[in-house]
This record gives sequence, structure tokens and C-alpha cells, in this order.
Amino acid sequence: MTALRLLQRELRDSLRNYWFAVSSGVLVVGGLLLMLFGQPDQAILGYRGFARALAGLMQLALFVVPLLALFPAVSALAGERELGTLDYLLAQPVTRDEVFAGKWTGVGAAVSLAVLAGFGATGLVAVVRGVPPVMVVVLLGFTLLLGVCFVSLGIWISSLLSTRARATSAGLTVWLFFLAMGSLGLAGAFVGWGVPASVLEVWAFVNPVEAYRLASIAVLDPGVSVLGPVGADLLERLGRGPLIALALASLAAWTGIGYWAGRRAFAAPVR
Amino acid sequence: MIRSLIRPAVGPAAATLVAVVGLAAAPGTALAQEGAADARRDSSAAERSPAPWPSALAGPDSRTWTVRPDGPISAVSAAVDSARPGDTVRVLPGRYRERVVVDRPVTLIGVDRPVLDAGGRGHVIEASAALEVRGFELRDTGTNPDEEHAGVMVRDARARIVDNVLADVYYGVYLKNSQASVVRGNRITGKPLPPPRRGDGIRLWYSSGTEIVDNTITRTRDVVVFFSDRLSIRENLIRDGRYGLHYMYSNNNHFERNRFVGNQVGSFIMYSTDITLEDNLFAESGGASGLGLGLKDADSIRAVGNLFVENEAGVYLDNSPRGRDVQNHFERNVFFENDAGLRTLPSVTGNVFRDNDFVSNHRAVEVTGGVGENQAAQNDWRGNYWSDYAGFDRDGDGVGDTPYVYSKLSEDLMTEHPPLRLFSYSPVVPVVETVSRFFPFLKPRPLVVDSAPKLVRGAFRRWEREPPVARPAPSATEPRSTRTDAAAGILLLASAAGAVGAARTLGSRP
Amino acid sequence: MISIDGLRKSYGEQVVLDGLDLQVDRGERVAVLGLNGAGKTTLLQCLLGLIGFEGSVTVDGQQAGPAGKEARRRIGYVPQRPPVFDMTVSAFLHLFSDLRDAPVEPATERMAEFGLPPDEVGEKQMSALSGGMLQKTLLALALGAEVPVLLLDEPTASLDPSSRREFVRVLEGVDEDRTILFATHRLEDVESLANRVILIHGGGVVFDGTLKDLWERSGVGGELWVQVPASRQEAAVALLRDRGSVRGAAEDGGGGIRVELAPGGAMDALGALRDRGVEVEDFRALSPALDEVMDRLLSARSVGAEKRDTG
Repeated sequence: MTALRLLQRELRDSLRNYWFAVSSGVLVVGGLLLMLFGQPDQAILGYRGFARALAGLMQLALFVVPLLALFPAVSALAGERELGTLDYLLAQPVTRDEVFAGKWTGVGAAVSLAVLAGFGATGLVAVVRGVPPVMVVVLLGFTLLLGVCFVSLGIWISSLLSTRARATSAGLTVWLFFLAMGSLGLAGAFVGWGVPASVLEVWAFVNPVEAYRLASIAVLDPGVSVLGPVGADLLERLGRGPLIALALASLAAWTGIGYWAGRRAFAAPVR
Repeated sequence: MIRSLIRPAVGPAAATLVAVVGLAAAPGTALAQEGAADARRDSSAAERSPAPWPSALAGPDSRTWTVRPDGPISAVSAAVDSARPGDTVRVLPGRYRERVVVDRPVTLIGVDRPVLDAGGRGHVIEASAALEVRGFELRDTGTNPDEEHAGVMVRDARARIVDNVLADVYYGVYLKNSQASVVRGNRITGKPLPPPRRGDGIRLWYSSGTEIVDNTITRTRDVVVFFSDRLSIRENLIRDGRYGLHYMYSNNNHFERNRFVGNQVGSFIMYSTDITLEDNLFAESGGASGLGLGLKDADSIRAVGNLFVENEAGVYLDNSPRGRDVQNHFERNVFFENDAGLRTLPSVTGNVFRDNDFVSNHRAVEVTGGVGENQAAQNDWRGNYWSDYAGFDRDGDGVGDTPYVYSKLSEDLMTEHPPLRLFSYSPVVPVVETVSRFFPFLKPRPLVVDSAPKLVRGAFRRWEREPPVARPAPSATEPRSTRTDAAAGILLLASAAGAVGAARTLGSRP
Repeated sequence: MISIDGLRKSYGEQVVLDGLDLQVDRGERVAVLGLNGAGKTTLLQCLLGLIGFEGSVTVDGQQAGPAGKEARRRIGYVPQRPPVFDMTVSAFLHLFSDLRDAPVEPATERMAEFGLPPDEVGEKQMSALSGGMLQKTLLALALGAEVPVLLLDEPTASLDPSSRREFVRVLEGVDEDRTILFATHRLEDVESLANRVILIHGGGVVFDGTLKDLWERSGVGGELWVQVPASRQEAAVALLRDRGSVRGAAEDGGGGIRVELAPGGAMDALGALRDRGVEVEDFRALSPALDEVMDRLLSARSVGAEKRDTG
């Protein structure tokens, strides 16, 4: 009961978060636009290039879903600290772990619902236009995992900071870092200082955004040839299944780390 | 490990290497190469006056032998052994567990597709005299790589192989010094081995003037042509193999309306000149070195009206053409939904692109691997359609007012540092492109400059409205389960509806 | 009802509570006094388990502490700054009643008693309520859940005078078997609500008794303002200065006399004036400031300690 009520409250709060609403809107509208107009009605012999359409959807999710997850997640604890409502909540017959779990599941549920709605709608259009539903469902599953992963990271950030503004800017920094800056820096280091390619390889699994991209590409393009020699090397050494599994494991690991560290940090003032 | 992979042009180069090694390993290759000129002269002589078909040898006393499982003659080889040149052997339905050696010109006619089963050993039919085979099912050859066990192995004789089913064969049809033969309307399916261990669907060795028409070849290694000129290869469907159609040292060839689907490479032309390919479909060539059409040291190639769709790279150019005085021509082809429309090594020039349509490729052109200065833009680009062209046509002449320039900093970087391709589809790419727009000194070298880009799709329209070939039905090896698809579709619908519903219910409850 | 034994809480080097002991029986109304930073709020936080601590604390027999969910179930809490949840009053009451596994109706009934009928305020956002309304809402929630213990942290500090009076009146009406522990530094609150006062200082309880005891112990007697006919003013001042119950007296320049009293000296001073035939035209008793009481008590205590040390 307690857990459910906390979840529900958090879900409701998340759904009312302005930026959450905006980014969900971007996901839905962007996805639909991509499906309806990004691939103009062109087909030869029934070839429509669904892999490329789905890749577009994946790229959209890559940008939007972490943001969509971070906005409500970073304010989950920090925002409540700032409002002064957290102590009142904790003065109720609940435990800190229950509150944390409620936050996590609530925000997670909100993000998952947004992804399901966004991807569901877009996916339906895609299916009607000839994309194999199984692929859409698989990609949807990956995207859910990406969302939940960033919920964990966001709540971890939130557990460490005391105001919404600080947590939001930390969240945006993390987002930028994982989205592009980290990869950009690494690419720069590779070009400039000859950092070994294996570092790129490790990064592709360690960074949850990259791991999501890797797993999705491996599904859309079984040969992962778009990924060049490093991709080929990965495929050769790991095989496609383990490659996808490893990438998903990385997402799952971040989800677990974020949850565990966040819960620990949230419990820390007690000691 | 990684370092070794970062060597230039790993994919296609490796493929080439395999092909060359394969050549070297072929028996008698060294000899063959030495005597290549002689053999070619011989073969063209043989073509001009080809050996007669067995039926042409039939005289008044020729007879037809009938083989049936319960008959007086119950083995095909028994009938062949009894036959005289020009005789016909009719084989009634049934399963004949035997290997047939044809050492005299005969015609083998299967009635209602009798089965010749080699039982996993040797060739099914091995001919050293003129042979016509039609209407059989030939199955289960041996798999000895040295003996190259085949459904039909023909040496130094002319053969007409028509309307047979070759199933579970190591090599399908193997013609050695078999001029002006015909391989038509056969269905060839290889053994379920990993691609490198399979044999070739059809292999020609010094067999010029041969016609290969309307065959369906599935799950074999290559259809490969060595030292064979003036072939006519038409309307075949070749799928799920390594090299759909592979030319080695074979000139003056023509192939059209073939469909290459799901091969590693649709067609690979190496060390050959004067080849025209028209109206072929190159589709779904996947894998790290997945190419629609690959040219390696190939001159005077004319590719006209072909469709390259959903390949890793539509066309791949490696040192083709070889010389400055020769050109390759690409006209009215469609490059659609490929990962790279054209993939080329940096120093390749001398290719002429006219009236091709580049539509929705992830990258229109990609320069990869190799060494030397990037000269891609020095190929001759004119009058092609580019779906990502952003210019206008104010004078309404159907040609864009500004040249189409394909230049991307990310593409430049990835060309120079192939491991960075790992970041394809990553947000890094748009970031890099945006940055390069603000800093002119980062302006990358263009890969394509098309001085007169067309604004209307021509070749694309043609394939849309009257495609020269139809798309083959999905292959039986990869059945798409409609039930799973339906379930997934329902799941999607339910999840979208459920998500909206849940959000409304939970979100509105006090 | 509340049993605290050797409670110790430190933040790093800084020890806030150092071996504090306190027993509170059912129905007691305890005012917790102390200088700023003495640890009043810390004490409440320990009872609620918002922070960890050493020592033993039980509420209604339940271990308190971060894991003290059952202890919290017995405590209704009204913080100094009422939390403003981003929800309607009705949603708030539902959510927190649910968290207490309590029905929401008693809370809404209390709301109505407090002049906040649910059909008027139920759909209002929490942020639209005044401080007093918020306090009453929190109190209604706590009372509705039938908690035996109420913890109030400076409950009236952020209220304007009329809201304060109203809230105190509401608190005065709380059933007698509920235990109330509240931190404050307002004498009015103590006077009207507490039947027991404790003073926290130096990490422990340095005073425990009634308000009267506190005054006596502190030696702060308060002040008296009297008005006598102008002609008698000088005589009255002289007279008062002679009394043992009076520590000082002076004309205030406006026709009145300010009299500084020893504890319990008011009646003696007024009686003396009457006995000498000085007509008292008007008088007002001025209560001592609580801060002053604490100051006196605490300095007296340290002087006493010195004396003990030297003696």
C-alpha cells in the first residue's frame, strides 16, 4: 500500500513535470513526423528501408529519452528537499528505502509510460508502413531500458543535491557528457593522441547512450557494418547475440548502480 | 587484435584476398595462368564451331533407353554404359542411389523428376562427353574440397543442363573447358554449411560462350567465372551466398536482369574488362563487407539501369579503372537505402556517373581504407539526382542552380580514422557537422561535386513503375513468422493504449 | 509515552545532544525551551528518526530512529515551516492518511471543526493556503489518524498574531490523553499550552518543571507598571524602592512608574502602595521575556557551578 501510494504520487508528479511533458511531446510528435514524412512514400519492389526509418527513431530516442527520464528524476528528491516536504514525508510511518523505491518506481513508471505511448504510437505507424513489428518491439524494449537507466542515474544525482536547480544542471551535464561530449572528447583523443581503439570499444559499452545505440544497431543491421572496423572486430570476437547482451547488461548495470548508489546516498544523512 | 583490424579497407580488401587465395588454391591454377592466352584462343575457336549436342549425333539406329526402378534397367549408369553416342536415356520417377559417369554423348531425360542420389559421396553426374540433362533432381554430393564434388561435373565437353533441381550439393554445376554450354532453369541449393566451407553454385573454368539463364541459386558460396568470356548471364536469382556472381579474368561479358539478394557481395568483378551489366537487382548485401557490386582492377565496366537497394555499400570501387585512359560508366542506376551509396578507395578516379539516382542512402558516398590522397571528387559526376540536395531550380530546367557538394567533416574524420565509424548514428556526428559549419577552416574536402544535379528522379521512377525484375519472395531459409508479427503488433497497440490509459487513471487519482 | 535515555547526537566534532534523558507521560504537555542551536529541533528529529543518533528513544513503547516506522506511526508532526506539497488539500489528506493506513474521514471532520470545511478548501492547492491554514491542516491530519503523540516544532513561529491565537486555541482543545511535545521560545505558547517545561542546554536537560518553577528558579520576577496621582509619584517610588520584593523602581517620564520585581513580588508591591494610601489609578503586569528567563537561569547555573567548584 505504502509503496504503491508513493509510486502513484511520484508518477503523478512526474507526469505533471513541465519538461517531462515537453520531451514526451517531442518524442511522440518527432517520432510520428519521422515515420510519416521522414520516409516519404517511396518504395521500390517493396523496399522501404525500414532499418533506416527505425534508425531515425533510435536517434530521436537517443536524444530525447535520457532527457525525458532525467527531468523528473533529478527533481524527485532534490526538489522535495528544496520545498521542505521531504522531512515531512519521512516523518510519516515510512522508511527511507520505501520512499526511495517509491520515487524510483514512480518516475520509472512515468518514463516508461511516456516511452510506451510515444514509441507505441510511432511504432504502429511504422508497422502499418511495413516495418516488422518484432523489430519495433525489440527497439521499444531497449528504449525502455535506456529510460529506466537514466531514471536511476537521475535519482542518484537527486539524492546528492539539495535544490532542484542544482540537480537539473547536474543532470543536464551528465546528459551532455553521455550524449556527445564524452564521445567527442574521446574521438578527439583518438585522433590527436592516438588513444588505442580499444578505449573507444570500452566506451561504447560503458556509456549507456552508446550501449543503447550499439544494441539497437546490432538489431537493425546484423552486420553492424556501419560501425566500421571496430564494430566488425566486436562482432567477430563477441558474436551478435553476446554483443547485444553485453550492451544491454551495461544499461542494466547503470540502472543497478544508480539505484544502489542513490539509495545509499539517500540513506546517508541517517548515519 | 584491434590494431590488426584497423588496417585500411579491412572489409573489401579481405574479401579480395579471399578471392585471390581461392584462385591460387584452385587446382592447376599456376598452369592455367601460364597457358591462359592459349586456352583463350582455343576456347574462342571452340565457340565459333561448338561441339554438337548429343541429340545431333543421333542416327537412324539410335535408340532410347528407359530406366525405371523396377524395370529391366533399374540404374541410370547401366543405361549409359549400354548407350551409343547420341542415344537418349529416359528415366522414370523413382529414387536412384547411384553416381553416373557419362563418357559418351548422351541425352538424359528425367520424367516427372526422378531423383539421382549420390549418397554424400562423389559427383552425382560426371561427364567427359557431350551431355544433356533435363528434368532430374540431383542430390547429396560428397564434400571433398580437393575433388570439388558437384551435382554436374563436366570436363572438356559441352553440356546442356536444363530444368533440374540440384539439392544438398557441394558444387552445383561445374564446367571445365566446356565451351558454349547452357545452364538454364535449374534450382540449385547448397549444403547447410557455413559460407566459407560451401562449394560454388556454378563454377566456370575456361568455359567461354556459355549461357546461364533463369537459375535459382541459394545458399552456395559463389557463382564464379574464371577465364571465360562472352558469357550471357540473365535472369538468375542468386541469394544467400558469398559472391553472387564473381568474375575473375573474364572479359567481354554481359549480365542482365539478374537478382542478387542477401549475398555478402551481389557481384564482384575482379581483373576483368569490358563487362556490361544492365537492369540487375542488387539487394540486401549485408555483413561488414556487404557490397552490391564490387569492382577490383576492373576496366571498361558499364553499369546501366541497375538497382542497388539496402546494401552496406551499393557499389565498391578498388583500383577500377586501372589506367588513366580507361573509364567505367555508371548510368541510370538507382542507389536506394544503402548504408553507403558508393564506397570507394581514396585514389580511385576515372569513373563516370550520369543520371543515377541517389535516394535515402545513409551516406551517398564514402571513401574508406586504402592509402593515398582522397581524389573521390575527381571522378566525373554530372546530372545525377541526390535526395539530400538542398538547392533550387529557379530557371526550371530540371537542373539545380548550384552544384551538389557532398562534404562532411565527420565523413572526413571517419575516412582518415576508420575506428571512429563506431560513432555512426551517434549524436557526435551532428555535433561535429554543426561545429564544422561554424569554423570554415575545418571545412572538409568534398567527396562529390556534381555540377548539374538533377531535381527529378528518372531511374527511380522507372524502377517504381515498370521494374525490369520483380522482387523475389522471401527465402524459405528465413521465414517471417506472421504470427509473431501479429502478436508483436497487438502488443504494440496494447502498450500504447495501456500507457495512455494508465497515465490518465493514475495521474488523475487524488 | 516518550522515554529518552542517554540520547547523544553529534555532527562531526560538534556535539548537540549529550546524554539527554527525558520521560514524558501520557497526556503531558511539554514545552521544550532552549537557546538557538541548543538542540530543540534535533531532539524532535531524533524522535521522528529523521536523523540517526546514539542512545535509546522509545515512543509508546516503539523504538524510534531512522528505522522506527512504528514509532512514527504514533507521532503526528507539525514542522516549523509547513511543507507545501504540490497537490490539492484533498489529495494531500488522502495521500498521508493512506501512508498512515488511516481513513481520511476523521481528518476531514477535524478540518471542518477547525473552520476549514473540505468542500471549501478540498480542491484548493496546498500552496494557496495561509500558514495558519496549513498548520491546522497538518494538525487535523495528525489528530485524524488518532496518534497518541503530537510533536510541534515552533508551531506558531511563522503565524501572524490572530492565526497564532487561533492555532493555540485549537491546540488547547486537543483531547487530554494526547501527549504534546513542542519546541518554542514564545512565552505565550508556554503559558497557554504547557503544563511542563524543560530547558535544554549544553546537550542535556538543565531544567524540568512548571513555568512557575522556572521563573522562581531563574529569579526573574517580571515587571509592573503602575500609575499613581502625580503628586504621590515621588513618594511611591521611594516607598517601592524600600520593599524587598522590588528590585528597582523609576518614573518612566510619562506619568507612570516601572517596577522591576523579584519573583512573586507583584502582589507585595501593589499591597504596599495600597497600605500607604497611595491610590493606584492603573497597573499592568509585564511578563518577563522568555529569553531573559533562560539567560538568567543559565548564567545563574554557571555561577552556581563556579561556586560549587570553588566551594
